[in-house]
Order: sequence, then C-alpha cells, then structure tokens
Amino acid sequence: MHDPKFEKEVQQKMTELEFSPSESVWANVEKEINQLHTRRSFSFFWRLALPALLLLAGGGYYFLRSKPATGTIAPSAMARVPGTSVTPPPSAAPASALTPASAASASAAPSSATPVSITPSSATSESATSESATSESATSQSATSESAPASVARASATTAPATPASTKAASSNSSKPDAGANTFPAHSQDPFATASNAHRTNRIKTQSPGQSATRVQSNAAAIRSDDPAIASGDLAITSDNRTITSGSIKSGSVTSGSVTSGSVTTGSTTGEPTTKDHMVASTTGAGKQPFRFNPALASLNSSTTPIHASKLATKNTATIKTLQSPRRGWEAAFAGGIGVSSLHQSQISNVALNNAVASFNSRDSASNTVTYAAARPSKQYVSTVKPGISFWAGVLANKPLSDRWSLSLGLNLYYYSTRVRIGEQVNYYTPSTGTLLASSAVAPIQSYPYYNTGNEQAYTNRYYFLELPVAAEWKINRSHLLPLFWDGGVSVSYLMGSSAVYYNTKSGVYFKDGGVANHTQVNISTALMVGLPVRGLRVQVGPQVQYGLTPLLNTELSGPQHIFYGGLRLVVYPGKK
Amino acid sequence: MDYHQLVKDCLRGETAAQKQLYEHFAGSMLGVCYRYTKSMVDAEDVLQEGFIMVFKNLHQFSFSGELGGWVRRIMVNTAINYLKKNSRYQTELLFTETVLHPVSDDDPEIALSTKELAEMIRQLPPGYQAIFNLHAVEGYTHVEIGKILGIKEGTSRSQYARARALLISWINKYSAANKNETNYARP
Repeated sequence: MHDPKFEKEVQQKMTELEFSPSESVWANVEKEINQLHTRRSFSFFWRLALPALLLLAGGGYYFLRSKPATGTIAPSAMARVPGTSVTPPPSAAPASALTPASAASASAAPSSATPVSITPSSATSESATSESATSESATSQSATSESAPASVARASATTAPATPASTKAASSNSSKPDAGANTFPAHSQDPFATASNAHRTNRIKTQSPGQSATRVQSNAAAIRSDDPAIASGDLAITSDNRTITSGSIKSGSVTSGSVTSGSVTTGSTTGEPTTKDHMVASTTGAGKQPFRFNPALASLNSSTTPIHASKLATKNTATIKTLQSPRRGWEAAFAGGIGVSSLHQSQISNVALNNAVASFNSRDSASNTVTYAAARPSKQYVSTVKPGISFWAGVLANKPLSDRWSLSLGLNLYYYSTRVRIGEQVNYYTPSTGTLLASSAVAPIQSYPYYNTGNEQAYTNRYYFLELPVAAEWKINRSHLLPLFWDGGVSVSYLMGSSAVYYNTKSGVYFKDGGVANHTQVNISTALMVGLPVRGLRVQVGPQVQYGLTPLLNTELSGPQHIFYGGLRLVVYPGKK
Repeated sequence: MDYHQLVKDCLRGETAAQKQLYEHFAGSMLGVCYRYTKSMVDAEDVLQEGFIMVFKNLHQFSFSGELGGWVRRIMVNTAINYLKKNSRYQTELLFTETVLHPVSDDDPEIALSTKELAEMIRQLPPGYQAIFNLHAVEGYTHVEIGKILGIKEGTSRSQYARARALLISWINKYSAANKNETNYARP
C-alpha cells in the first residue's frame, strides 16, 4: 500500500500551481458567452413565438377565409348592371373607367337601377385602352339621350336594341364599330354580344357565391400597367395585377357571363338570374370593339363552364372572380376592467337594533346553529355596506352581424368587494349537525367565525364570480379615428367563492356562511367605449356599469341586496381589422 | 468574495461579473489544465472550453459546495474529454500497457518546486498522467477513475502504481543530480 504522504505532498504542491492565461482566452470565452446568450434569447423567443405564430396563422387563415373574395380581371372595360348602387370613387375617379356621365347617371337614379357603364377599351391597343379608361367620348355619349341606356347593360335579356347604341357609343371613342360585330347568335338571344373577327376572348368563369376564386388567364393588353386603380364604390380595379378587388357588393355576388369580341357569346339558357350585380370584362378584337356587359347572359350563365365565343378566341382569356358579399367570422379578444362594486341594500342600512340578539340556539333549523353564544352587546352599530375595489378579466368572442352590430360572448372572472365595519370576532360556530357531536369528533368539521356588530374593524367582503356574458355591440359612429361603441347585454354568473360576512338581524351578528348567498346571478351590463388608435391592436375602452338582477341576499330581514359594479372596461382585439 | 452574488450577477449576464469570476479562477484552473496536457497551448484550449462550460452551466450551481471546487471539477472533466478527443492523446489513453514500468514503493522527499513537479507530471505518458492527476491530485478513487476513463478499476490501479513509480524514480534522479550539483536531465 502506498504511503499517502507522497500523494498529500503532491496534492499540496499542485494546488499552488498557477499560471497567467493569455488574453485571448477570455476574449474567446466572452465571445462564446455572448453567442450563447444570443442563442438562448433566440431559443426563448421561438419558444414563445412559435405558439404565437401558430395561433396567428390559424387566426389569419380563419379571417382570410371569411374575408371578401377578390377577383382578377384582365379586360379593358367592364360594366355594371342595373341594380347596383354605385357610389362615386373617392379618389380614383379621374382615372377610373367609370365615367363622370355614367357616375352621374348612377347617382341620379340609384334606386332605379340606373345602369352604370365602364367604358370599353381596345384589347389590342394600349392607347385605346387608356383612352377608353378615361372614356372621354364614349360614355359621354352614352350618358346622353338614347345612348345612355345603350351603353349600359340591362338586367333583362330582351334588351337587344341597346346593342347598336352601345356599340356606337363605344366606338365613338375611336372608330366606327364593325357592322358585323353586333350580330347576335340566334340561339343565344344575346343582345350585347359583339361579333366578328374576334381575336381575343375573355373567358369568364361563372361562380356561384361561396365558390373560390377562379383562375385567371389575363389578357395582356387589357389594362395598361400604369392605369391607376379603378374604384367605383366598393369596386376597384388594380391595374398592376389586374385584379378587381371587391369590398362588398350589397346585392350579392357577381356572376359573370362571357363576352367575346369575336362572333359569338353564348350563355347557358338554363337558370334564372340570381344576382343583381354582374361584372363582365371584355377585350375587343380587331381593335375597336366595344365592351358591353350582358346581364342576361351573365345571369343565365350560371354554370361554371366557360363558354367559348369562337374557335379563334382561345388565346387571350380573362376570368373574373366572383365578388362575394363580405363575411366576417368570430374574433377573439381580451377584456378586463377595474372599478368599484357595492351591494344595494334597502333594509339593513342604518338599522339600529335594540333587541336583535337572541339565543342563537333558538334559531330555526334551516339556519346555522351557534355553538358558542356570544355576549350580547349592549348597544349595536350596524355598518352600512360601502363600495369596494372590483376588477375582472376574461376573454370574449365577437361576431360581426353587420356593419355596425356585432354579437359577443365571453367568459369572465369577476372580483367584487364591499367594505363593512364590524365588531370583534366572537367565536366559531359550526353547522348544526356538528354541534350535536363531541368536540373531538367535530374537529374536522368546518367552522366559521362570527363577529359582533360594532365599529372596531373594517372588513372586506370578497366575492369571486365566474361570468358568461352575452352582449350586443353597436358602433355608434363611422369614424375610423375614434369610433364609439355601445355595448349592452346580460350575463349569468356563478359565485365561486366568498369571504363575506353577512348580517343577521335576528341574531345581531355578522357571520360567514357561503350558503347564505344566492350563487347564481343574472346581471345586466352596459358600456360606452371608444376605439383607440393603438398600433397593431384594436383597443376599446370606456365606462361600464353592471347590475345584478338576482339579489345576492334575499332574506326576510335583510331584504334583497343586489350587486352593482361601475368601472372602466377595456377590450383588446389582437390584430387590426 | 461573495460567490453567491457573483454567480447571480453572472447569471444576469453581467459581463463584469463574468470577467471577475474568470479572473478569480483562471490562474489556478490553468494550472489544473496544464497538468493534464502536454503544452500550454493545449492547456489554454482546455481552460477556454472549461470556462465556457462553467458559464453555460452556472445556473446548475447549487451553492451547496464551493464554487472553486465546482469549477475545478468542470475543468478536470473538460481536460479528460479533451484528451479523449485529441488524437495526440488518444493512443496513450488506451492503457494497453505495452510498456510496463516497474512498481516502486519508495516514498521520497519531494525536494522540487511546484513547477518542477508539475513539469515532471506532464512528462508522464498521457495515460499515466491522467490517472496520476485524477488519483493523487484530485483525489478520485480508482472506481471513479475507471468510470471517467472507461477502464477497469484494476487497470486504473495498476496504471497509477506504475505512474507513481516512474515519477518517484524521476524525482530520485533529480534529487541525486541536484546533490551532485549536476544538471538535471529530463527523462
């Protein structure tokens, strides 16, 4: 066996061994630490961000699905059918294909479904397209006298006479219309179908409302790339990507027909028009064929099968997407509030009791039995219930019902409190079943303290409620900066816990007993809120009041006591809308 | 030094505290690393890796023991791992015992300075060096050494005996040489 003396000596000497490391060691260590810190931060970030991203993605997908559909178009012109209430574009009017004349006609008789024309343009000529987009002459003609209805598509399929005028109006922009261009196929009864020598066809798929977007094959010359957006009311054309973005067309979705610049445009003869708004895009062939909207065809063309105007018209096709009325789904939000709460009591306040205290054991069997009788106070002071701090938090789901109305459901946790002045704690009492047993046997039985009346200490009654509110929200104004909202509704809440003391006028003491209170409450609530411009969020804040319709306490002696809450309400919707 | 506060500051990411902890232990820990390696460059590599491990795992320090001992244990483990990974040391750590050194029960007086003794330890073959350091200096048992190095306890024991004998022989030679006032020639 080795002598540990050698090892001890070696150990002692080696503990004294020290060197000075070079500076590079710390530099490398520090660098590594910083990288480690960055990695940890990144890891921590992703640990939080990943679930958030998943939630956002899910939410985004949900909202996108409920978002109004956007359409894509590559025509040089389009028209809207009667029945569409078109408001003049706020900003893009000069560049819009919607001419002043047509806009005027639209505004002149909006209720009578005044046709609105969006001027035609040539599919083969960029300049023609731009000219037609500005629609100097064509629609000005169409706005006057007999050409006005001609340039406009009508809902009826029997409006064939409009075609020549329409053609005239359109061709006045550039050239005379081809004489053969306005011949309609006999079988189609299409008054607006343009005719021969078509080189291009816009194939328009018809969609029923709710269908997804159809694929677009754009017409290359349809809209100049520098054309500004065409906005007409809720309708806009973005020329860059040749899409039509629809905010909403109130009368429903758009079904589109097929308009060809060639010889024939046919539509299905089956089916009835189901929508009022139709939008058809067209490019003209050999240069100057005007675009016309054919509502009859559009309405008849309810199948999704594209209709080819001619065999030649296969190169350039355009598909317009169905414009659907907007639908918004449920939105989740966080809600909370802080304020004061109180109990409305009608009979307890300021009651002076001179003969209230009695033998507690003489109480009826339904009530609790006091095992240790309190000393009877000579003079009793019954405190009024004063308001206390209250707050709540929860989540809500909001479903827009219309532009201004929405419905919200929620789940909230409420904390109410009130304050009372009470006397000294006297002793504990147990439920009546426990008092019959020996003291050792009742040890596990829950005991409650009770308090004399008096002004010796302040006591805070606390109530914890779980609440399920249902409310309607009304947007009072249409301001985007500071929108006002009124919220009103009812809620059902359940008392989950309480530390409150209740005054028993018969016994003259304050006591704790969760069984005294009415656990299920029905409340009404109202709030006036203002939407605040917070970046990335939609925040609503404002005053709120809530009143319990169901009395929290309703004894013969104390009378009904209702919970009242008043405070500030805050609702935060993640994400902009 | 208030290690408790120092560790907390380090965990908060305060660079000054981290540097303070490094400077406090770097010298002695470089001595530890120096004993396990064959060059100062390797020792500094081990020191660097060891301190990175220290800061990486500082949140695991439970304050139940001494911070110095905890850091030292990390350095030793890092050094052993370094030896295992580094090709220069791998063959020597196989403990094939192709060359067997005689066992000696001598118990010489160590009339060497700390650095001279450390230099002698570093001249041991890496297998001997590691086991000698682990057992004689760090105080690990042969069972623990066997687990650390992945060898049998008996192997560790025999390797240590031979390392010890070799080192003692060198010490004796060095002492004799010093007595004869001759220059010490390294083995």
